[in-house]
Amino acid sequence: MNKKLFGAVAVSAALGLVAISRLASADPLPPDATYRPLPTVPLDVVRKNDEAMKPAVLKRQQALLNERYDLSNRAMSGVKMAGGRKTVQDGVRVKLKSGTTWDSLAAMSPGEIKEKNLLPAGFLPLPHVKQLAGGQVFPNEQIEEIRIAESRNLQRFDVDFDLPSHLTPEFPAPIFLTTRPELGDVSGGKLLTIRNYYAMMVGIITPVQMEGLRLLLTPFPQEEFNQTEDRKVPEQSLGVACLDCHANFHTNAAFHLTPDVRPQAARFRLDSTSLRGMFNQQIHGSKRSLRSIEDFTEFEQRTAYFNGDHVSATRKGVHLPDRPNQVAMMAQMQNIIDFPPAPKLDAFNRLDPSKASPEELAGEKVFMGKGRCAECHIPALHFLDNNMHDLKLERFYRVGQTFNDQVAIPDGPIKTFTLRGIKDSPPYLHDGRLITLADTVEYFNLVLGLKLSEQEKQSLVAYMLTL
Amino acid sequence: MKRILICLAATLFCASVLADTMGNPAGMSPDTPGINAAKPAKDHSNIQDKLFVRQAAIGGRAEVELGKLAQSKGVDQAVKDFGSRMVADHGKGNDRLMRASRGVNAEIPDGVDPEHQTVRRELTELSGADFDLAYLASQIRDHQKTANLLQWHISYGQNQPLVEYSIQTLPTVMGHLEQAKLEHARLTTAGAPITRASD
Repeated sequence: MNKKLFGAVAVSAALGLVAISRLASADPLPPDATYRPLPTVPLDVVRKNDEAMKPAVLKRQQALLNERYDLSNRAMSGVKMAGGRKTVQDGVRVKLKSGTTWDSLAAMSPGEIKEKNLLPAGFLPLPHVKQLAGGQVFPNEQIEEIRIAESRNLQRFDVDFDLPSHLTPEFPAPIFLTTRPELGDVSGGKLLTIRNYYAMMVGIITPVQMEGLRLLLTPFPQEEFNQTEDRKVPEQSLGVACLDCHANFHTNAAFHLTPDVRPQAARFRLDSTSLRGMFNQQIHGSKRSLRSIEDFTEFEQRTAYFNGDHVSATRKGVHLPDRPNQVAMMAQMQNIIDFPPAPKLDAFNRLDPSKASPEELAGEKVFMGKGRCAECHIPALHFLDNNMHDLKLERFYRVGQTFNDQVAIPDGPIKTFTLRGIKDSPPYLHDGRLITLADTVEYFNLVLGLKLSEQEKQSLVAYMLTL
Repeated sequence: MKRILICLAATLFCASVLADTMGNPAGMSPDTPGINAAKPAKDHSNIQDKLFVRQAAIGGRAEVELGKLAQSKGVDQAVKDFGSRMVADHGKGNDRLMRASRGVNAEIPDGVDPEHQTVRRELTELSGADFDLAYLASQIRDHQKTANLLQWHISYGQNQPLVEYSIQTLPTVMGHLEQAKLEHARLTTAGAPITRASD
């Protein structure tokens, strides 16, 4: 017997025991644990059921939101988002569990908070308005604008958007271009659509960028908006466009479920991310860490559109953009979207002491030092580090609890998001679980064990408003 | 006690609203009673419920069997204690499962399933520290599987008492998984103190 073959046989024999175990453990979950099941009920029955259940679904979500947050409209005086159309919301909105204060929580160990079940529920993962159905949900402003401009229906029959509009970004958001910084906002206060983009952008962008823009505004079939019986709109739909969520290349707070986790109950909510500053971002997707905007643009047809289920996509009509031409043009358009102006920042995104207030400067000092913010949000890198980090929030609560059909599992590593223009993009964190900048300060104060004073917390908020 | 009451209250709250909103349209089957009246019957069970009861019963039974083995063969006190915890928790869990699944009409095979028979045989042949590690490794696998099974059932099950069972059981199972991972890490990391999840 040849020596190599003998070796292989000997190894197989030694592994025999293991091999038996492996064979015996072939007892998997059914395919719907990973794949989207095919519909077996006619659309009219699904619709009737969904519409009948809708009031209870919305009521349940409102109950959860009200239990976790103060959703009232409390605007900061004099602080508006970059387009000047919406005021920034003030104060901490996450509700404390009774008998606790932010300081008393900060003084406790994670284990004690977990043991006594004292983590504010607003710090937990935020469920989708209807977790088990999931899918894209658009805010009413977007639905109305698209209905008027394109006669296209983005209103689902099973759910409505769940946050009040004073807690979402201004709409339509202003658009700033790296290629034409002298122009300022080029949106003219309008929402870019497939019907108006050409007239709005001719003379401002290049032919290649124009074609990229056209593709980003073209509706393509999507899981809930398509031509098949498995959809959530009454009529057959042309689909959705990239900029239906990333409205005017920013975000309108439309949400979805992550394509990257199964089963359904464990998927986390995704708050649409802004595309501002894409030119400096090296990793894309909260979980996937895709290495270029080209990769991301190409693969969104598999993920944002079809939940990371290419099998379902094939049936509903997937659009696979041609990589060397279409993807490249879509990417180049996204890569010229700039942040809003930040007049108090210098070339390295540090505050100019001649322009900033003492409180803002104090906030920057906390940001760079005691607050440890700049360890990931590095000013010179546009507040990115192009890494993913795990904050390990599960140290503070018992994992596996179910809230509105969502199972709270650890978040795991999530990519660092930029803080440039951050006052323009509430709600915060990847799933939008935090309502205001003050909420983010309390969140990180607890999670990182910072023990910031009240004054330090306020200065951090003041600082973030300058970004 | 106060905490238990709060948990109980939270559970009851979930259960009461659950009834109105359950059922994933993508997974609802056409023979769901009441479906055409837009009021699917609340005590209806689907094939996912039936499969869940079968798999959960098989898994729960094996946990008790293997837990007993760990109580007698384990060397490390924490491994013995873990075995005792499995016997107690899964014993109670199996009883609750049987109560919750009344009316679901699931087929549950007798005895320990072939997969766990193999695991038991392998474990019986080991002793000392080898047994401890192999037992914990098998517990990590089993609890991964059970946690996934419960999450899948929460995603697609329709029988209300059974979904409530899954929702109530999942945190415990994930707690077992965490403990098994920590003890396994402790036994494989000589000398290094391991921080517990609750610290």
